[in-house]
Amino acid sequence: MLTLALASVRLRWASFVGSFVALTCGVALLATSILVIAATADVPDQGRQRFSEAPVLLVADRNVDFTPAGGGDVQPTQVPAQPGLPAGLLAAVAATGRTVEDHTFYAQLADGPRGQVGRAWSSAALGGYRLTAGTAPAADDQVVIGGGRPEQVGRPVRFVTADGPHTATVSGVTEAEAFEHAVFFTDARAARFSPAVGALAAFGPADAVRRAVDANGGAGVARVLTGAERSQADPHHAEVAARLDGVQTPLGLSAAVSGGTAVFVVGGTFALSIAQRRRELALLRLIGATRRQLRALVNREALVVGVSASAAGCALGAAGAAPAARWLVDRDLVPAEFTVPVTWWGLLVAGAIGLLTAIIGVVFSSVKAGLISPGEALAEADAERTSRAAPAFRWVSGLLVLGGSVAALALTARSWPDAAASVADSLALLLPVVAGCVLLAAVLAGPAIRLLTALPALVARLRGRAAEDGGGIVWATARQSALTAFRRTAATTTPVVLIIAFAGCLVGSIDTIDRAQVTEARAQLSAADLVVSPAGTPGLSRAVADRVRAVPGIQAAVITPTSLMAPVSDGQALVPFRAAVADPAALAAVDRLPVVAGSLADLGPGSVALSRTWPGSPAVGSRVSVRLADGTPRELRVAALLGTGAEAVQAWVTGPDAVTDGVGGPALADRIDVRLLPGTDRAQATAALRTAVDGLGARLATPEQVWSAATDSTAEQSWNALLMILGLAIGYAAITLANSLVMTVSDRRRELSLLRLAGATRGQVLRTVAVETLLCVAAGTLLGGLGTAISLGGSWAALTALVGPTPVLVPWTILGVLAACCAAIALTAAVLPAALALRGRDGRTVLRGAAA
Amino acid sequence: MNATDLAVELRSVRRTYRRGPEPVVGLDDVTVGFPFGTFTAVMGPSGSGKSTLLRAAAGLEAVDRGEVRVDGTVLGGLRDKELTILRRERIGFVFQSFNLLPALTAAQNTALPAKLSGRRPAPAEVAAALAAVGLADRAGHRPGELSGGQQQRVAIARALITRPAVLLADEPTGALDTRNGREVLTLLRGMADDPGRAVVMVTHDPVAAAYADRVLFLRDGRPAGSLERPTAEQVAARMAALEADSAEARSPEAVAC
Repeated sequence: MLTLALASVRLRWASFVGSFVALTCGVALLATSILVIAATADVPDQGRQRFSEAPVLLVADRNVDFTPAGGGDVQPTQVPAQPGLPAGLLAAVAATGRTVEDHTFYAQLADGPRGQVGRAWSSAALGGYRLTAGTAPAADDQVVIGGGRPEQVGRPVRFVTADGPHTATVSGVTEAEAFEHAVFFTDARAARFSPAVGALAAFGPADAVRRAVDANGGAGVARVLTGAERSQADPHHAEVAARLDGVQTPLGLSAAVSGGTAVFVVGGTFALSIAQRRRELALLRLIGATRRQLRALVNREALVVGVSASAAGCALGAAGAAPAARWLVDRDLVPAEFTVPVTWWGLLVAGAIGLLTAIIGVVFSSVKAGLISPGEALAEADAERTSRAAPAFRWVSGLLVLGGSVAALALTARSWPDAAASVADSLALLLPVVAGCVLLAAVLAGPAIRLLTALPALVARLRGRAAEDGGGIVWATARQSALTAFRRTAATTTPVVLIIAFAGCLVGSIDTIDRAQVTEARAQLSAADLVVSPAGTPGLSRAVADRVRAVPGIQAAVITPTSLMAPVSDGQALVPFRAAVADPAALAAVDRLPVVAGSLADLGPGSVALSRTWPGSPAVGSRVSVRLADGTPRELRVAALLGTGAEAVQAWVTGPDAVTDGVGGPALADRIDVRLLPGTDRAQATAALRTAVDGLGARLATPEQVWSAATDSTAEQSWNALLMILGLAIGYAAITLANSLVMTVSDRRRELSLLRLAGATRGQVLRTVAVETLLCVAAGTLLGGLGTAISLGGSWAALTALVGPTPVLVPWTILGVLAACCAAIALTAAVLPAALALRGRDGRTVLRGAAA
Repeated sequence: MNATDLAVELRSVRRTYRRGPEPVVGLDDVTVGFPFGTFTAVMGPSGSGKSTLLRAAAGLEAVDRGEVRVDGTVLGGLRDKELTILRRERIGFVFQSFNLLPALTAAQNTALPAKLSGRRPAPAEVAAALAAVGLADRAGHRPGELSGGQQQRVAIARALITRPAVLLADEPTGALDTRNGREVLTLLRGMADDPGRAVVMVTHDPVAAAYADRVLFLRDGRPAGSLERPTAEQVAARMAALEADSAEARSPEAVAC
């Protein structure tokens, strides 16, 4: 039977080439992804890092013990704002030998990069810094610049810290280090800027240090790191690890998508090849093949395709590893020393998954092949039979999926509109809509084509002719052919529906969600006149806030980020939520938060304004148990509930209930919203504000500028990942489309010959084929548009309930381009083989074509 | 006639189809036997039940009533796998067209039934079967490279190799020109001379029927007489009469409707 399977694949290679290409691409992508992901598992050795010269390192790691509701093991949960190593511990460790305290905090030179930090000079030695010019800072007004130029020594520099602007004299400069941009101060000054000790280097015996830690709070306050672990304390190491993680997610997702789609491509092309060969398979049954043998034959065909495609894919994937690594390095997504080793197990896993994909894809078809009755071999003509079961299955399953997803959309829009604001949640809601449309594509293609051709048919009927004759002979033949050749029409329409509906849902919903966020920001700023935001700095210093508040005739709401921890998942885990702290009177006057219950006037010490999606859905007036950013437990009264989206601040508190200090120094403000008091001259106030914030790394903008900038703030990485997944899915659909059309050419040969015999010119025949194909693509676009409309309608209804009137963004350009691409692919795949089939086919050959 | 002498036997077989409101009768209480060593042609106007008879004899269609025996085995009650093996081992088929798997060569097509039963036929065996139908030099050709007549002969070679008790032929010359048709009929005739085999052929063509030992006529699902050692003229005359009859029989109904 393997001979037959091999022979079938060889003879009918056109049927299998789509499966082969799809599987090869899938396996290649999978292999490269696995190799790259394996390579990103370990952060490449950075050589020197912030603490590489410290033999033993203590890192502040305050944990709170969280007991899950209903019992269970106590979970030590790290707090988001580390208060620093306790004094008792510092003293105990100091008793074991020499120690160096690390104070690191925000300090940015006037022309320094955004991530610049201030540190104590004694900790410079821990990172192996060497002075290249000048001396160590000896007085409080002296600094050493990491990576500075020798000619800077002796000159004054300006810098900004969390409390405001300062000046100092450069006493020395060091070589530049890859892991940070640092400004070094005397130890005393650094300790004043940031009293908290984030890390402690100990030169005493490691065992003694561990004992000292265990006696002073142990794992609840600090981690002891030695050897390679020390790099974990380096923020640069964490950043590289995060960058590598950031590469893993889209790669893993796209590998999963391509694997999943390849299953469908294999499934689809095998189903079509079975449908085309019914008679041949029935003949096999008739001359003595059992059902099991027929199933085995189809499975072996899939195996032949699977093995060859997996081998080709692994070869491509291995070859792609080095270019992928170069690409990632070039895009600065990974550090320059990143390489991707080709491992045999990575290729083996990819190949095995490819083979499994082929087998899963073929299961349905092989079962179907086994059900072919031997009597079909005796059937007169193999005219296209439409079994009654298949459309019924499609109607039922399609309507169930579509109906279910529409119901889910409607329910979400009414009850949990915030789900629609999260990209991940709304995709989970919208993908079933796409699936429903794809299931219905085959059965709705006919009605859609009738609808598209309604106009010429109507004209024909008005002229008293049959509807089928409308629009000229080419048009009429194409219409009838598209309506009769059920299988071919379905095979052309379905991938188009998938492409259009998928792209429409994905891109449309993301755009609409983004716009809703802009709408939300806009609503919040609707009463503000001006906004002060960071410019080239990570945030606004206290001096900016003080100076803005001091400008006469304005009211300013200074918004500073913090966190509140609350139990989620019915009390199973404690997680930090985004929170913000602001003066409630100023906040109420300047910002328009979307209050749905309660009032911001009641916000004050001991109370909180929460998003209505806060875990446990508390009511206004009730008390919620939270932990502040440093882990302090606190009971807060709910003053107001806010209808904010998932991406926005989830809780507003006042100063006494916020922890904004800790390791790394005081927190910087995110934004200052400014409202002009009545009677204030706008130009004057603007000028005064501009002067106030000048030179402090802050920018004065109008709310319009802020919300238009919000449009660009979509996390670019997740957007890229989505685009990659979208591109993949569309690529696969395109392969399916082209493959299906090429496969059905043999079905078409007889039809074309008959048309030629009936007197149609070559041009007329080709035009008929082209019009028929375009009709199918148009029908697919129509149905895909329907799916897009349903899902965007659902998103829009939910988002409108959430943030008020917000527009729907339909990605017309993308949909148009995709529809055009589909049309181009389909036309090429249909007309080109038809033209080849018609070449020189007249007279005897045509007759033979008609008889065969 | 003794039952063991019959390669295929139908006893009181009734088969109706549900098409529309009225059941259509395919075979109506048919009892016929096809003895070993004979070549029988089955003829009748379209809709007379010829094809149903052939399909029932091959076990491709379950019968409503009665019994079908092939080489002594009762088909009713056999499971699909048992039926398949029976077809593989005791029944050969030749149709009007599309007899062969396009992916396989003539030799591979010939060897297929043996391979399906898990046996690898000796190359000499396959070559001999192809030589018997005059295609020794075409063993490596695919069906697409063979003429219609050559394809029919490969199908006969395939039937030869399993040494079936029955060879069922459905319009085997329908798509052939006279010369090729004559070659195929001669081959079928020769196969029926084997005392262990019966050849049953459904045909429209009186000339083809004249190659048979006996012609069995059917009308409206019932046997309508037979001719022993027929000539083409006799067959043609009988067919013309049958067709006139059934036209007469139907026309009053048509008026009544």
